[in-house]
This record gives sequence, C-alpha cells and structure tokens, in this order.
Amino acid sequence: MSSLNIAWKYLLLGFGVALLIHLNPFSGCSKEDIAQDYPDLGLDLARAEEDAEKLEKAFSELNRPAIYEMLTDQAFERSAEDISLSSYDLLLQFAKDFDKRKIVGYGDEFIEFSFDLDGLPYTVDFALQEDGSFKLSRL
Amino acid sequence: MRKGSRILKIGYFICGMLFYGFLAILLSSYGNRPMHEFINERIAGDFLKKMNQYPELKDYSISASDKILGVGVTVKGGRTITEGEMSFTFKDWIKHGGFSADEPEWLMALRHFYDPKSLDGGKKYLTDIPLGLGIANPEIDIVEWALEDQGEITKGTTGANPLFQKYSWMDGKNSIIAAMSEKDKPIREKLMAHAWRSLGETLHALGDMACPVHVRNDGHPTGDSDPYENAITLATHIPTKPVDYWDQNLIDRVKSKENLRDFFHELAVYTNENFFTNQTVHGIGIDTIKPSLRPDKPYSLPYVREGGADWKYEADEFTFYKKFGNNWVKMCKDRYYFANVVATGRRTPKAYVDLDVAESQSKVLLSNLIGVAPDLIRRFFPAIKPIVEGADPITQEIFGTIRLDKSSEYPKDVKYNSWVLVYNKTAGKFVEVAAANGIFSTSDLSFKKGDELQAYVVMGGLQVAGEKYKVTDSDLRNLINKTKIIQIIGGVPVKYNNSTQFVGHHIGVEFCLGGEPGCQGSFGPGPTYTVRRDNQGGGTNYEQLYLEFDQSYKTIRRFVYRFEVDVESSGIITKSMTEIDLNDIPLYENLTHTVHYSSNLSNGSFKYNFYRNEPGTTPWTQNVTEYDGAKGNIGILFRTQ
Repeated sequence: MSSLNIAWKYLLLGFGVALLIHLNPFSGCSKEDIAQDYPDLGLDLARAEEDAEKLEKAFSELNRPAIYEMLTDQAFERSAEDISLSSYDLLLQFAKDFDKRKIVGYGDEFIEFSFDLDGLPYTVDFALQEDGSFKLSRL
Repeated sequence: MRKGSRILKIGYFICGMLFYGFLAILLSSYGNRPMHEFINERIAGDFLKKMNQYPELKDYSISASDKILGVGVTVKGGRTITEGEMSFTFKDWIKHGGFSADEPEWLMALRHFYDPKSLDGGKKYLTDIPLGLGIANPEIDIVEWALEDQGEITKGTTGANPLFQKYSWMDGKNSIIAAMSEKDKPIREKLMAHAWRSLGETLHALGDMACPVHVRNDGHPTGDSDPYENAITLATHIPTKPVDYWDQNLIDRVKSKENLRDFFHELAVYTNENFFTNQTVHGIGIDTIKPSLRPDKPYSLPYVREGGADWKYEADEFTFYKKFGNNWVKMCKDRYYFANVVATGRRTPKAYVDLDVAESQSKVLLSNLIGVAPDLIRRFFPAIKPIVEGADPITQEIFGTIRLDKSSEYPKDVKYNSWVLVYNKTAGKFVEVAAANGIFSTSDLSFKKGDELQAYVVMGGLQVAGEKYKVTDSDLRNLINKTKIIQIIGGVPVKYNNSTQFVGHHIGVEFCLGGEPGCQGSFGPGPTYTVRRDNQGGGTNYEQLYLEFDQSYKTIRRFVYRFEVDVESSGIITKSMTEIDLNDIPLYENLTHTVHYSSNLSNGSFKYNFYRNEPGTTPWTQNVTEYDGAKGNIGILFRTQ
C-alpha cells in the first residue's frame, strides 16, 4: 500500500514538473523560435517572421520603396500615401515599436502581430502570397 | 535494496513527465485541422445528442463506432482531386465532408459564394475575382452547387478546368434511395458513405452562409486573405454555450423554411445584413467609412455608427460595437498608426476588421450556425418505418413491411428492396431477410406466444427500429389485414320433412381505421367489399360466397362469421343464427365449431373448420357434415393474392 502511494506521489511529481516547464514563459515564445511554439496550421511561421523582419528593416532604414514592396495592393492603396507623408521619426518609431511584436494569431494564409502603441496593443496583418512570401495587408 | 527503491522513484518521476508529454502532444494535435471540419464535427455531435427529440426520428439511432467504407479525398489538390477508399464512422464522414467540400481547392474556391442581395448585377455567384487567375468563373453560387436541386449541374463542367458535382445534397439523398434497393452489402455501405460525405459537404456550404466573406461577394484569395477565417482556426474557437449568443428569432425563421434554398438564403441574408468583412466595412465614424471593395456600391447593411440603436463606440478601444441580444459584438476598429495624432487622435475612416473583431463576430455567427444546422441533418433522413405486422406461432412465419413515407425531401414513391433485420427481443436472436417492394417475411426466426419481435433497417451505421410486436396466438387481424379475398366455400343441401331448407352464409366485417376503439361494423355487403354468391350448380342449395376487399380498407378490427340457416317448413320460414367472433377462437387448432339448429329442426349439428390457404394445405374443409343424411362441406378461405 505504501509503495503504491510512493508510486503515485512520484508520478504526480513528474507530471507537475513537466507542466511547470511547459508553462514557464522563458522556456519558449521568443521571436526566434515562434515556429516551434504554435500549433501547425499549415502556415510557415518562420517565413512569416522572416518577412516581418524584412519590413522592420525597411522601416528602420527609412527605405520607402522597400516598404511599398512589402505591401499588398489593398494595403498600398490604404497606406502608401500616409507613409510617403510620414516623417522619418515616425517611420523609425514604427520600426522600434514593430520590433517588440508578438503574434496575436494566424490561420493558414494570414498572420497578425501586435505591439504596444500609447499603452494599447496595436495590430498589423500579413497575408500569405502565391509565392510563399508574406506581405503587409494592413497596418 | 535502497538503491533499487531510488531507481524506482526516478522511474515513476520520469513516467509522470512522459505522461504529461503524451497528453500535451495529443491535445495540441487537435489544432491541425481546418475549421469546417471542427464545425461539422460539432454539429454532427449536437445532432446525435438531440436526434431522438425529433418526433420523426425517435426510432432512429446512429452508431458511434461502426465504420463505413467509402470514397474520400486522400490528397489535397489545387485543380485536381485525389480520392481513395476510406473507412469512417457517420460522424467522421460528416467531418470529412467539411474538408472535402473544399477540394480541389482552387476550383472550389470559385463555387463557395452566395450573395443574397445579388448586388453585382443580380448575380449571386462570386464576381470579386482577381485578374489573371487563369481559371474561368463557373458562374455558379454555392446554394445551387451544394443542393443541386434544379437538375444536374452543367456550369463549369467544360473548358480547361471542368468540375462535376458528385457530392451534393441531391446526390446524397439519391445514394440513400439507392442503398434502400441494394442487396449487395459492400455496395450499400459505399452508397451510405457517399450519402454521409455529401451531407458533410452540404453542411460545409451551410457553414459558408454564416461566414461574411462568402455572402458579401468578397473573394479573399490567397494574397488578400480576410481575418475572419483565420481567426477561427482551433476547436476552442467554437462557442461552448452557443445558446448564449444565437439569435432565436433567426433560428426559428430558418428552421421554418420548408424549401432548403430558403433555409440557406435566410441564414445568408442575416449574415450579410449584420456583419462586415474587412473590405466591406461601411458607415460613419470619424468620417464616412467607405468599403475598399466596391466603394461606390456598398451593401446598405450593416451601417456602422458610433451610437444609436444597438451601436456604440468605445473610444479607449477604438472599437465599434453592435448589440446582438444581450451581447455587444465588436464590428470594426478605426485605430491607425499613421493617422494624425493631433487632428484625429489616431483614428481613420478606413475602419477594419482584425482578428479580435473577427473572433468576437464568430461567437454569434458560429452559434447561429450551430443552432440551425442540426435541422438540416434532420431533413436528410427519409421516413423509414419497419413494421412487423404479424407472426404466426403455428407456421412460424413473421411478416411485415418497410414503409417509406413521402416527405418534402423525398417526394417520390420509393419501395424498400434491401435487408431487414428481424429481431426476437425476448430470445435475443435475429435473422436478416431481404424485402421485396417493401414487404418481408421469414420463417427462419423461432418464436413463441408472448415473444416481442421487432424489425430494423440497418445501413451505413444508421439504425431504424420498428415498434415492438407481441406474439399472440389468436390475433386474426394480422391475417385479415393481409387478406385480399375471403372465400367461404361449401354449402349443405339439407332436406327436412321433405321440404327444402336453405343454408346460407354471411360474413360480417367491422371496418375501422387503426386504433379506433369500439368501432361498430355491419353485416352484409358494405361499402368496402363486395359479396358474390355463386351457385355451383352441384345441388339445388349448394352455393359459394365470396367476399372481396377493395383497396380502401386499412385495418379490420374484428371479423365475424355468421352462420345462418333459414328453414322453410310448410311455407313457414324459421331463422337460426350463430355468430362467431373469429378473434376469440383459436384459429389454427383445427377448429371445430358446432352450430346448433333451433329446436324445431330436431337434433342436428353442423361442423365446419377454418383453414387458411397455406401452400400444401387444402383450402377448405373436407369435413363431412351430416344432417338427416345430407352431406356437404363448408370452409373459409383467406386469400392473400
């Protein structure tokens, strides 16, 4: 009877430790290994992150043509003019804010990131393209 | 010993960790499937739970474990479909239909739209197609595609990418009808698998009626995805308590539609008039909000605004809300990074739907879908009624019918010509027997008086049970209900005191509709049968009586044979009469019944037997009756053909 209790005790202990390791925020979730931490819905998370990084770089380098290149037609129509009129400071600020992005969610053709803006989460969307790349579909 | 104990503890500890790992993998793998499959699975589950609450399906059940071999989609494809044999339960076929309805994906993507407002020149099909897609628009909407209720679909079946519809609502129902006439069991199971998959694909189509992009002519192709379908990717996005979110009025309205087109249309109208896609937001916020798709010709509803009936704007969230029942649902947002901070406070008239908004909308939309969809499944089932009509304990024959009642979904006259499972519930034994034109009979299942018998139709995991039938030994009604002609044969030429005495036979039958207690019948020819009296010419008073039923009777509750003797003696006619209620006599025990003449006929008796026309038996008695030296025969013949 007592050996049975010990067995249960150690089984539960093992279960609990594994659970704690899994819940530990430092055990995953960084920008670098997001692909390993989210369910596989058919979306190439690594590629999405790579293209998000590319966008961030275009903003940080104040490279407007590169930014426009990263916009879908819809996003271009919606925001190209605003970006062209924006100050360098604002573009740099966007790059800095966007650097702190987190994944809100995604489907098989779409991913949404959020970052903090004026103390509130702000979201931007990326859409999968035919060639497997991601473009910004709303910002 | 101590060392061994420590190793054991470490072993238990590792087992605990491994067990957690196993659970985590098992649960997270749930996230690998598309939403239509989750929704179909949920709807099928809800339907199965409430199936017996539908009066017409109270005797129906569906096996949770029976796997049915059929044809499913084995490999995803863009322009082509790859199919192969698969074996699933009913629920898994429904789920698979949620997936296969999208295959081949590129071609199906053009067929899964229905604009109930026909905003683009009266067209209900998708017209928001990107240039250079390389696939011709089949110009067919999903309601027409999924229901195929106006004849075989020919649109999109020619050209570079032809696609034929093989899994419509109509195709599925036709498979059920075919299965009911199929005796080859593997073929019958394939037909049923096809039916369940078709039902699953139709459910997928209904699901699209609760999806804004599919009812607002918003093509959302790859490269231009809409947030809604990407917001609800996991089973956890399905509302756990949909009744808290659904619109009961809508559900009642949809379910009241007898025609399935109207059923789909009603749900599509609701979704269209109450929800936005990201590219069709329309209304007024910080300025006029114009949709990016067809900005000059927006859908008039919904019209977003900051206040008024059922609308509000939460400034600290930059979010427009609309009230649905008791719930405020997020409709769109207007926060914009590049908006002028001073002039607009970071607001834009280019309002949008993001994942947060889409998820909020999905609670109402998915709940409505879950509310109406089980009623679609209900309509898919034909009205099957297996009935044991009689069981003869002497001949060991059980007979009955599989009745297929017409309904709005199955309006044609269909006869059941497949297998029937006849079950002796008391003995726990069954046999399978093939029905022909809806009629079955068997002598292969033993039973006795008092046993309960039941007939079942079992196919593709579906089981329809008939009512229990309790075996009695004197219930003539079953026999009579099968009888088309009752023939009384024979006669007795009798003489008495050198006078001729006539012997006549009369039959009285009570005609009642089933279940009416205490119905009164009448003797003699009635409106539903005719009596023919034949003089055989063999003797002066030798005659035969025929009673022929027409098709108008339903159930005969009681059968009375009246034997009547009219005696003529010296010009005076005396009547003597005996009535026998055949329900009260043990018919098959070589009945001998004695009719006593009236006293003035001196002592005499008349004997007759009842037989039924079993093969190999004499259809009427040879029992010699003697009275004053006369000889004759009398018998009754039940003819079933």
